[in-house]
Amino acid sequence: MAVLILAVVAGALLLAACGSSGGSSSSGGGSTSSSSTSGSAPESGGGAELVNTTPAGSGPVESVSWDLPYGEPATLDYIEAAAFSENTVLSNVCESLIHLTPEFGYEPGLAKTYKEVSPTEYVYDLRPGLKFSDGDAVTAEDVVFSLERNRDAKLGSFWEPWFANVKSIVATGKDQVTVKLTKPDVMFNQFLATAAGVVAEKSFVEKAGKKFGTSEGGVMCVGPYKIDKWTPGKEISIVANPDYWGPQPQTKEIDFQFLTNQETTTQALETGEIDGAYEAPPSSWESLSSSSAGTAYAGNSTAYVSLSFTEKEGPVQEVDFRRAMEYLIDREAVAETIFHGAAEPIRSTFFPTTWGYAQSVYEKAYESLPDVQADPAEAEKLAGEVKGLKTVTMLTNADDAAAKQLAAYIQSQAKEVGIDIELKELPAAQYIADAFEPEGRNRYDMILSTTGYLDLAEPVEWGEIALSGGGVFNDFGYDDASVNKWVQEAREATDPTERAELMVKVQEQAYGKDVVEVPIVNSAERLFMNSSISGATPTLTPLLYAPWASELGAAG
Amino acid sequence: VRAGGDAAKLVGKQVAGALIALLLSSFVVFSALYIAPGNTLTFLSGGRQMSKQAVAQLSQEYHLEESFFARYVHWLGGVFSGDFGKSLVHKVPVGTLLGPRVGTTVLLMVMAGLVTIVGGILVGVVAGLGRKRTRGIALGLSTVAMAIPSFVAATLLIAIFAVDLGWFPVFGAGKGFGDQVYHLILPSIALSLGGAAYIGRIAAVSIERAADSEYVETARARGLPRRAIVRRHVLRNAMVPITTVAGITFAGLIATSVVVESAFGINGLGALLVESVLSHDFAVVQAISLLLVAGFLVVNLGVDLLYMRLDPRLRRAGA
Repeated sequence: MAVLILAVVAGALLLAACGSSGGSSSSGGGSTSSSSTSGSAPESGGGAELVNTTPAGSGPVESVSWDLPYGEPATLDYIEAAAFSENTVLSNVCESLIHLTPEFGYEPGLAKTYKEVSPTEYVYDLRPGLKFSDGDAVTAEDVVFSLERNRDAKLGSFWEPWFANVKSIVATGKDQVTVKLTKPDVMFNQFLATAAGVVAEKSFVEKAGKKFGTSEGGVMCVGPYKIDKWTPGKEISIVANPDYWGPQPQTKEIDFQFLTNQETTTQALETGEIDGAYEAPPSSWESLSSSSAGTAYAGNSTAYVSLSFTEKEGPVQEVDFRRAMEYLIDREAVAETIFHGAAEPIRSTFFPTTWGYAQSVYEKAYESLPDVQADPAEAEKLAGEVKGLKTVTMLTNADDAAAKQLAAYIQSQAKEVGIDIELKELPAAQYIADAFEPEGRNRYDMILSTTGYLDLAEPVEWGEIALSGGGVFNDFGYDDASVNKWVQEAREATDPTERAELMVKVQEQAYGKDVVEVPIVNSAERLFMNSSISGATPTLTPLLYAPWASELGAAG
Repeated sequence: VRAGGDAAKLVGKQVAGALIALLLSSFVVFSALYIAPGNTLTFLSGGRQMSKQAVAQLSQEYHLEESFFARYVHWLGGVFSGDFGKSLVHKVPVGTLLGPRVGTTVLLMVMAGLVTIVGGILVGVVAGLGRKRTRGIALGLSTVAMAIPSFVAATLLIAIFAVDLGWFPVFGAGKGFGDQVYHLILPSIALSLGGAAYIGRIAAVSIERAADSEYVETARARGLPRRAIVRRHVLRNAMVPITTVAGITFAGLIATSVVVESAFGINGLGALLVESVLSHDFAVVQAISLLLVAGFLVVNLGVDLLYMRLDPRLRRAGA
């Protein structure tokens, strides 16, 4: 009997290993400079019509069910919330000091004004009469406490790198907080427009302790909504917050569902059982776009798909091989057939949506990058230069249909020119665990990623965390002295044009010369809303960091 | 009275065996998770780099720095005092996490079990006692049903009955008992197709064999009505192998439920088990595994008790 039991348990484990669960990973983004609301709309790449807004809701709605395709949030503690599900919910219940506009610009959030007194000093004045969703007043002390949590090494905030140059965070008035930096750093203020700038109630956080941000402990912040009920494994309900400083939202209640199966999500959207979802599956994009149940919006996004390389010894360490991979991929075809038009081919990770400022500088440099078209003959020639080229391995996310399709496409393209690619498809959680840990990652030669996004329209972000030596997302172990220096100079450059000029030098070196990764497409945010509702922000990452449901209401 | 005493003895024996089995399996699951590749801290941190202090803090909180054996003993001690530990990922006690899901999964299992067994026996009766043509059709259909993987069945059922006809909801487990049963009808059918077909084939053979046996011929010769013969002599004798297969099939349902729960967006134990195994959330994996093993043991006990009822010889032998 014991043998039978063990067999059942082993079976369950095996099944579990073959099964799947949703997941997403994020990477840091850029920022814009200094103080004011200087954000300008990035241009959309080309053919596809990308939007920054949807028609505002024009009437009250009792409740809306909304799917989180990457599953239940692991936490709603803002210092750890840095993934799709977490921030989609959090942005409506926990606002930041600065808001990201749907056009990737900056505007006052909880801070009525934010002034750059000098390149190393910022002053934040709170909106008068702000209240937490329990009705308690928001004080400068709460702000100091909330920001300091990002600096506490023991807490391990995701946003810690952007607080590296902070010298002090001090309450300088009842409603005023002053932040001093050890040296100029344009990233700090910009990151206060992400979850790093959330203000939580000090007494609540201290009382909740380790339960803060969990289904048991909840959160206490300022936002148009507050959490009504979080039933683990089932749903999170948020309801309009009567103590909100701004206009009351038209939609009284949003019930977040954790449906991760792509087919089921599509069917639930088409039957109207679920009213809306971000990140609709690319594979169903065509059918959703023509669905009579609602409207599919392709929004501007900082998300991109790329083939990155690891530090593993072998062919990927040779630029000829990496260039060969670049020549194998027909980006136009990928955008059309795998993403059904909701994507644009890109030449570097500094693609048009990320140009939050000095667009002309970025545009000129981007246009001068080689526009590599699929050219198998060239790829074959380059691969011929690589010594000892045998089989290379490529890690992909087995739960992501688009990634699997793309992986198979790259594999077949490579085969035609004599390069054998062995695919390693792992379930989402395992994929993330392997891809983000050097030891796991370096078991493979290449990683195909479809879920990365920049937090802000600011190339310095990617320069810092992925292109600089020792960066958190520097899979390739790229460590070029000039690039490191330019990125640090850009981080200190308060003049936008100067900063852009430094970053295009980084781009030329890292992408133009060294091919640190093969950028493939910039994928649009795929938003679907039932025909009865309208108004959700369709752009990524603004939807993750500013209350996207503020304008959600009955369709006009 | 005699039979009751035997049953009590059997239950006592089985419970003792079950406790040992639970202990053993908890150790095996714990070891498997320990050996599985991947660093627990990577899952905890979602892949980002953490400061040394943060790592130390987490290691201490979840006893990650302790030896394998110390961690197991620590966990076991907690279980004996009623504490199943805390989820690494969700940071809440395991009980809080499992509570809302147990009911859903149990209901799904019961419904799927009923469909499997009743459906299987029906197929068996039709195929075993029917004419050649009926038999061919029943067996042919059961072959098709067995060949369809449950996730394909789930997709087909949703497309036809939920999307096209709109008779059933596409996903979710519903609220309140009636609504839950309604929500779980399609999932339980998707889950039981293969098992029902399998039991059907076994049942068809056993029923056919029993129908051809000498005692049935004797009964027929004595002029007993056909219905009584089928019920008392054919079915009853065919039930022993059917029960055996049904017990094993039911245990298999528990494992397959993972796939079906995912397809129908039901947040049951299966879905949570997958998620937890992948993220090395060992306290949750342990608790669910133990629940599954316990569920299996209960079914097993039920099967043994049923044997005693079906076969008087077993009663005397004391199982």
